[in-house]
Amino acid sequence: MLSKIKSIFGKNILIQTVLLSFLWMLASGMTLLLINLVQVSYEVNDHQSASIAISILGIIVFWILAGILTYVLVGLYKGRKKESNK
Amino acid sequence: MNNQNFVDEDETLFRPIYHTGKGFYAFAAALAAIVLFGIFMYIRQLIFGLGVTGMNEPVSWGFYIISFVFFIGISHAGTLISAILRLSKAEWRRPITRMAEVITGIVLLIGGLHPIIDLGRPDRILHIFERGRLQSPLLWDVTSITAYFTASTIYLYLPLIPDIALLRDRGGRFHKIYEILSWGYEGTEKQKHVLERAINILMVMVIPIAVSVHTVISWIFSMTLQPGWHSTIFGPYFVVGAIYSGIAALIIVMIAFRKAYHLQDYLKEIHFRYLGTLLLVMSLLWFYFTFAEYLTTFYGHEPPEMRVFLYKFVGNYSFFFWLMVVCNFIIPVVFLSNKKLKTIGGILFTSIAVVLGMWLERLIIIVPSMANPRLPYPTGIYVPSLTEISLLLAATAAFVLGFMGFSKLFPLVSIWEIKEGREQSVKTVSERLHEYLPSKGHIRNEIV
Repeated sequence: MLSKIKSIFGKNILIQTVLLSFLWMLASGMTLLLINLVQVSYEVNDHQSASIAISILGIIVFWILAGILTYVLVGLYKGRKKESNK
Repeated sequence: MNNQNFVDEDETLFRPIYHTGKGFYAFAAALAAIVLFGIFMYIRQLIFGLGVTGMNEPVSWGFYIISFVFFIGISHAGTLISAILRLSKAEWRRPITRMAEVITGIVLLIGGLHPIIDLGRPDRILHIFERGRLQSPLLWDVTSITAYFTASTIYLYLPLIPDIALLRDRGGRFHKIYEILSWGYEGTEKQKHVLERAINILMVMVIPIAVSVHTVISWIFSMTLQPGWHSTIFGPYFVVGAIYSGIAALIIVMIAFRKAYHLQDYLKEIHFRYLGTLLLVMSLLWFYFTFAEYLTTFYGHEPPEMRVFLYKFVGNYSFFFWLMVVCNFIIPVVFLSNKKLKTIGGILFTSIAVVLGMWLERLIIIVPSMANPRLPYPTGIYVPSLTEISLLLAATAAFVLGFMGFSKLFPLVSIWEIKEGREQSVKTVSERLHEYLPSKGHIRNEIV
């Protein structure tokens, strides 16, 4: 399976995708953490509205950052001479 | 392509990556020894507990939290200064931004470790993920520092891509790594457009994130009712202090690596003069905030607040307090407002004084308030132990080592930005000037 993917996309693109997925994992992990902490605030009845506000802010920032890097890396890949000539 | 056959007009910037002298290894080994000793002392602390530190009741925050605030403050050197200079299209930024951005990445990692080092049971950090309370500024801090580190790393990486592509094309030891990290960059118009657009979005986004980081750190203190901490101006006061110490650290790093890697053609005296002027402005701002903070405390004359006030001004911490004032205000004003003293040597001396002064400021904020709590306890005493001192030295050594390591993988000055500056700056700046200034026939036309 891995060798098939390698032959289609090349070894580098596979490693690059793995590296990029780390950032998405971080963004997803932070999202899960913040959602969990909002749940905790509801459980202990402790400043739920503030917790939601902070979470929304945090989640948006991480997703935008992951989005920017993905935009750049996909853009660079598509902007190569080989790709442009297609 | 072999790197030996490739000669670039900016060869000086590539040289540190391909040539390493014996002095580099000797210095790196000495720094690594300091870091290893620090790790040994930390393991000892893990085994024997926080009793090996000078922390006690009521002074339960010492060197570790001071270093945490200090290093996170230094991180404002990079991304914030770089983003502001890029945003304002300051052409002299070109050889500076990379070093500034590297500082941010490294010190955020080091600073971020300090709250964990401060824990007697670091394994309990996992409780934050499970049962953390978002109403605590400590958790806001975790979120904002993680966001800042992520944003700064991306902000460092994106402008690095064209330079990584140059290194990939030259070949050499790390050719494979460069091939992966350059993401197929070939300098096509489309690729340049994508990169430029992303950098523009990031440089706007990174400024509020950077400001939020140190504001949130100040809230760890000001959200409590501790005398000396409960202040509304702590947010901007901390941000000003952070930018101030950041610029000073940037100047020190620039001067050190300019000398070590012979970058005199890139980091010229004018860069240091401009940064020196920025440092002077920040010094005056810092003094304004410090004066405002202590004047309101003194005027209110609340007994618990006055206990801390007098502890700093004439008590046990008066030496450190007045040394801080000398380092952060007297020395910068004397050296940076005098043309004869505003040389590279003078600016270096001032920057070292500012870094020391800003570390003392963190000490002055944290320990006296802890030693004189609002509750009627006797005044506490804090004397740092060898463990804390060695960990402070290890953190500093790790910073220098990290920077040296980076310089062996990537250029410390942005090569493509220098080339772009040479090719386009004169044209773009003159175009900009035409936009700003009235045309020559302007007055004549009005009279007619």
